[in-house]
Amino acid sequence: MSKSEFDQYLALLSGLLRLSPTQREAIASELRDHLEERLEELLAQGVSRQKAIETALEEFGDANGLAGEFVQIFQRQRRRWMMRMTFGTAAAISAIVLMTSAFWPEGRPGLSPPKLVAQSEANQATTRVPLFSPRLGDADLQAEANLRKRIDVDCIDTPFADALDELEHQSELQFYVKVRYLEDIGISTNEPVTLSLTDVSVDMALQLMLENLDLTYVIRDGIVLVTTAEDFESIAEVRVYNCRDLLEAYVGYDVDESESDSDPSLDHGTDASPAEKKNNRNGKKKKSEDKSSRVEPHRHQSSPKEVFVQFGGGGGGFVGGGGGGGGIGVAQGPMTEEEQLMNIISIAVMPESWEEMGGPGTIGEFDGMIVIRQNPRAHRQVEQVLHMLRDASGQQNWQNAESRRGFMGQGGLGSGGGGFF
Amino acid sequence: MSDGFQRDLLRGSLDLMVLSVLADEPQYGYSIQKQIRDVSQGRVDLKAGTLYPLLHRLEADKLIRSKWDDSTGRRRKWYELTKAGQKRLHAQAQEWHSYVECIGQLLTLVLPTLPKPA
Repeated sequence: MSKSEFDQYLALLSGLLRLSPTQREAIASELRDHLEERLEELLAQGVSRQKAIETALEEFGDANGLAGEFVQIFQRQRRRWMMRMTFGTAAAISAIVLMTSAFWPEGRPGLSPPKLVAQSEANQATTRVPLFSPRLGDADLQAEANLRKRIDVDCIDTPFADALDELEHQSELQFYVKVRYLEDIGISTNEPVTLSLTDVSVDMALQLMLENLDLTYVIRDGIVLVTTAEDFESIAEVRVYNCRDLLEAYVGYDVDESESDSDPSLDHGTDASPAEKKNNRNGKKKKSEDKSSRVEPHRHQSSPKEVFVQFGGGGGGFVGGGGGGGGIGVAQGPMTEEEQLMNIISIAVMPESWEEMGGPGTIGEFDGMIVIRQNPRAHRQVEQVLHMLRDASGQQNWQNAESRRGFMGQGGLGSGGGGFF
Repeated sequence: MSDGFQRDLLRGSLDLMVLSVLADEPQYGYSIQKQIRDVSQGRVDLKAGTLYPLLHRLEADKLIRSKWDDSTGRRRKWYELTKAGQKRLHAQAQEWHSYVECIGQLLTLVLPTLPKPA
């Protein structure tokens, strides 16, 4: 007999695990290690190989039941995040937005089209609540404008630092090169750069120049930070994706607003007048939280139809922080549309980068808006997934769901949870 | 070696057992199982099919955390207590002590009349 019976069992189990491939693999290799060690022990005790394999497998029980248990834990954990996110979120978001927007400027990854931001800004200008929609700082606005400037570039074997100087001069931007990170990947500021283009945007020139060196850039406080792709990925960025259109398009999505007063636990002592409540109804679609037993505070600020939230900084503590999870009852019942959407996102986009897989990424939901803390690359993929979902479901107004984002420097601001990994 | 404990009796305490095994140093699944079996002199034989979901649940609850490590020559998933896990362990241990004491008190009334355990 060979250990191929282990393989069969683990393959069967993996097939039953409705989890991401990475998660399945992690579970399978952990169990394989156990099976092999157990086999060795039993063999050492003089048990026949056939019998030892059978015993080791028996101790795990039937694959179906075991898979069910793992999946259940995974789902429970997902709901737990939801709880963390939704419990007291209204207060938390406003506090964090207030706090962080005061300190953290708007930033953006190099490749995002500025046009969209501008467009949605125009769309939303009339409906935004100032508190939730800090405008771009002057410095960032200037930087955005400067990045769109069209320039001529003519570098032939020019040292990288000189090429940047030239760009800096032409664009009137301020550059800062994170030299230490460059050194880590063996790139010096003397690296020869060749790039010869006419009438090109600063943004494009910069991207092309940096890409060849495995570098990239982000904007913070109006300054262009040049760093390595790796460092770039470790930059946690909180973004809010407005997914109400998707969630509403969901078949069976409950837009009946009549039950909004039915659950007393949802009323967070708001003293909103009936008129204000009516405003709320006009302003937003009722979510389906009443279908599950989640306790979710209703938003009681008067809510515009689209709320732009921008925050950074404390994001780690907010989404990933250990607080709040424990005491709250775990929601039961089928996954809500929001949970399903979050599930899809975390399976489709860099599955191993999320908190549950030991990664830094977190995802939560608030009133039809998905709040994600991830690196810019993952955000770009999230954008694509949502875009595709909207295309597939025939949503026309996806531009409205453009998100705003805030940056936080990696590590610096004490992320709340999971520093272990 | 005496018989194992009844399942009902064990159910509420498996978490505590695993947490206490992890109190001193990181362990991997197999070593946790073995240690519980050894310490209980075989009376608690935590089946692998129970242990791993339990570990994953404790990890989801942030009472333990894991990392892959191959410094023992074999790539393994090692678990260790988190701060919250240490707290939980202490709280539960105290609870258990007082529970045992309480049951013990109650049983002193009836134990003399009961047949002695083999």
